[in-house]
Amino acid sequence: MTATPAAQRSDTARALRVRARADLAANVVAPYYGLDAAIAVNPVLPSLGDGFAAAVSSAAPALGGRGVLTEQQFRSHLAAGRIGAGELAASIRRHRPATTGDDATIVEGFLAEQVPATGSVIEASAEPDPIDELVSSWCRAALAPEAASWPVPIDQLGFFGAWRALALRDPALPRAARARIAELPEAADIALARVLDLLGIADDAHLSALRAHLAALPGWAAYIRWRSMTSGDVEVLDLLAVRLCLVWALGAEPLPAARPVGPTGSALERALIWQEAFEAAPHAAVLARLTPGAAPAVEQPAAQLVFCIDPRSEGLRRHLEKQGPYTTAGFAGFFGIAAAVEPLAASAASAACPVLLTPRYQVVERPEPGAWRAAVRLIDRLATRRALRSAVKAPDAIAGAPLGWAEVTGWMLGPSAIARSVLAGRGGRAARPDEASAPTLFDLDSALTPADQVDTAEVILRTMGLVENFAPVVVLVGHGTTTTNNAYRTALDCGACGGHRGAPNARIAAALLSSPVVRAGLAERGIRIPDSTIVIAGEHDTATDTLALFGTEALRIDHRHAVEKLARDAAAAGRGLAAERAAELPGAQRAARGRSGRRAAAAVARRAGDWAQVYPEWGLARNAALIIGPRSLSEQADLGRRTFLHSYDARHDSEGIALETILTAPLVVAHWINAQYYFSAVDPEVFGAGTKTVHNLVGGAGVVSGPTGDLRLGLPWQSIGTRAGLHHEPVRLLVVVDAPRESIDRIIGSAEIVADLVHGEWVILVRPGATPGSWERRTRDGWQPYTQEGALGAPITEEAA
Amino acid sequence: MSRESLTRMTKIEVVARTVDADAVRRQIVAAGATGYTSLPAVTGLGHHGAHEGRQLFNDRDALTLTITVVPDDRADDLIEGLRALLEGTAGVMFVSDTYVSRPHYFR
Repeated sequence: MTATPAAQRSDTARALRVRARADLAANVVAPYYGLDAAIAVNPVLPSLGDGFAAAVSSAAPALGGRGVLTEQQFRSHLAAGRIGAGELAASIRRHRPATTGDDATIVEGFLAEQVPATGSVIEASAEPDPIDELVSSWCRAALAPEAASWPVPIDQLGFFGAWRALALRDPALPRAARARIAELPEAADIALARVLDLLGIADDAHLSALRAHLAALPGWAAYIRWRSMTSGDVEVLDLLAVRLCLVWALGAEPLPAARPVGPTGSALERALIWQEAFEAAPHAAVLARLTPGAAPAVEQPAAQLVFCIDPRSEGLRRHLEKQGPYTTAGFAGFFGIAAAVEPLAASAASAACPVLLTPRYQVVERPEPGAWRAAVRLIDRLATRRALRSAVKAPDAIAGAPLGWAEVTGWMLGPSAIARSVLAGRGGRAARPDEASAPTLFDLDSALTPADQVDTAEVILRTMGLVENFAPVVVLVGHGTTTTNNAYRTALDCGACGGHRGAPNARIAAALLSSPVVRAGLAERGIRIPDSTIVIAGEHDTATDTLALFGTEALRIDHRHAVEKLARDAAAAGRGLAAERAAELPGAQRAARGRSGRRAAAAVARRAGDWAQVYPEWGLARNAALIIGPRSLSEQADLGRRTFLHSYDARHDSEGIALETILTAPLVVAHWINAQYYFSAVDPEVFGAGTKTVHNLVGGAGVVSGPTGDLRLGLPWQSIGTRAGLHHEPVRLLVVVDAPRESIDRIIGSAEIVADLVHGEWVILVRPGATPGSWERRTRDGWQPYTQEGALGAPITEEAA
Repeated sequence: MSRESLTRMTKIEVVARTVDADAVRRQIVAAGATGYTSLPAVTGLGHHGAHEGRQLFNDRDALTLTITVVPDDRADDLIEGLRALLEGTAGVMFVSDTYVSRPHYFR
């Protein structure tokens, strides 16, 4: 069966074909999840299956960006000693196995080579493209209605239909252009098919043309991809229809300016050699600190604390373990609660689980018995605050009104603004707007049947590997951040909780594991949580290094003493962590010098409440590795908050189910985060969001730099660098898996996403080798010895294994 | 019940990655089909090897089977659109004759 000749196609068939091309073209960029609940994502995610090298050579350049640091940046790192000659030579040998000579000779030869020319640097045009300007303005008006001067009827007419209706009367468009728009069909798909013909773009060039047009404004294209997946009120097809109709109506060039091509051939090989040499040191530093096969440091812990795998948890875990007989573990911070959660004062539930998952059920937060008065007061207070905020902002939408409004209310708001500026966070503890103060519980019984509760609890414990030797106190610790006046706050919250703070999920999981019915069900399945063990929830505030504990009011006296001791030790650990972090935060180095950590703790708390602070914390900057194994593997190591830590014990996972879950979900999420930081750092202009200081918020969609333009993707400069340069090191994720080869191979063979990550070299997956201190890496070709310079040896045969 | 009392129509089934299933459904709706059935997390063995069903914590990286039934006069347009989609993404399409007892549901 062959495709129908173009001339014989019906209008419907033509519309469906162009719709298909639009959906395929959308794969030029990953969805962008906005800032209401920010989610880190690899910006070239749709090209994941093509591998990292292809991202460098084509997927990143297609969006106008670089996929690796520049030759000049790499040479600077070599000159500064950040890249060692041995590491560079090892990388060269790996790519060019015929290379001979000592390290110095090899490096000298490499540096003397003529650097192949690539065109991957995009020079920003001084003059904005008028089509880009018009499309950006329309996106902003239609998709962030609070930014529009008057209501835009996309609810009734759709994104394209509303644009067409308004464009016909838009005096900003020439009369001739409006007349042309009037000739176009009202349906977006048929209109797009028509203008493609009118622009003379041949059928076999449709896909590349549509990709080029989307890549001209990747921010809005990425945001519309997400909207089409969620609310569904707009599609990429609509965006393309608006853009191409404008191109035709205004007589513009049919295609946007061509993007320079990325490195290929020898230029690509050279870029990859540099990149691998650059990655060798941080990866070797992680491996050198690990101790495969080590015995746990604490046999009978006073408390077990399960943290999110987030690298920021590594710091608090390390400091806490030094304070007393505590053991810590890592697990995805949603704690297996794949739920939409409706907080007490919210009008709707939102997904509080990784975006890889569709929420399976909904959990509602309700007042505790007898606490309804406090709950009503809380809801009233929040409603009043919202109303006041809305009233203060209302004049912003009326032309000229803000000036008059400032005259009228300035005397009221001025002193507050002055006080906030002068005090700069010293005026008391900063609080989040979603921080409830009424006693509440999460209604599990309305969400899950008792049998489902037992199933969920079993999955949580088995995936964690927490099935025996329970301590008297078990704490599930989520995380969130407290910052003020920060559009990127949710990017600092828990990605595993859908870009929300982690306390609700931790509280739900703790309630589940405390339920007598659930414990009885677990016992029937071989998991016996002793009656003397309590499970409570906590939340690590990553901006202030404090640990809040929940559900501690009605504890037995012995448990209360244990929890109070834990709280004191956690406070001391937090001060130690604050001193460690302050040493890296711009402007906080002096506070880091105090011996007790109290000055540092005060400094980070002050920064959390300072509305002018653009560096409240470093988030996940400098992330470099994911370790999947028992805590004893990393217990003695200071990993510098650069590693995701997921607990795993192969002895409790004979069928490999837990490992499969970890490699198909937490690994994927860790890669997305790693890739977002990576691309934001290698090309901050294209894949990063630029400096916070010129950001303008566009509803919950995101930010633009200055008054208009494309929505900015990725992380702001203040998440990855300072005036001194990059703070984040753009390295791919080293994934250490302490598991048998066969288990890992089986999962790579059955889960395409894991194969894409490993074979495509988006991650470097290693496991402990047969001899102490040795490692082996899984590549497309199988297992190979892995030295700490990143070089690979001869493939490992079955006999050698 | 014999087939003479039924109405012949065209059944179109598409197995595609879950991330592409929305695009498949958009094709179906835009072609004027009155409905579809989606089966998420299907398992099987195909051109790209074995596919597991739904992972415990990952619904996204799986395959979805989408099934629709359309009158014959709408089938060719939809097939045209779906073929264009499958030219650029992994997935397979099966087209077959089928018989329905309530034809007005599908028109």
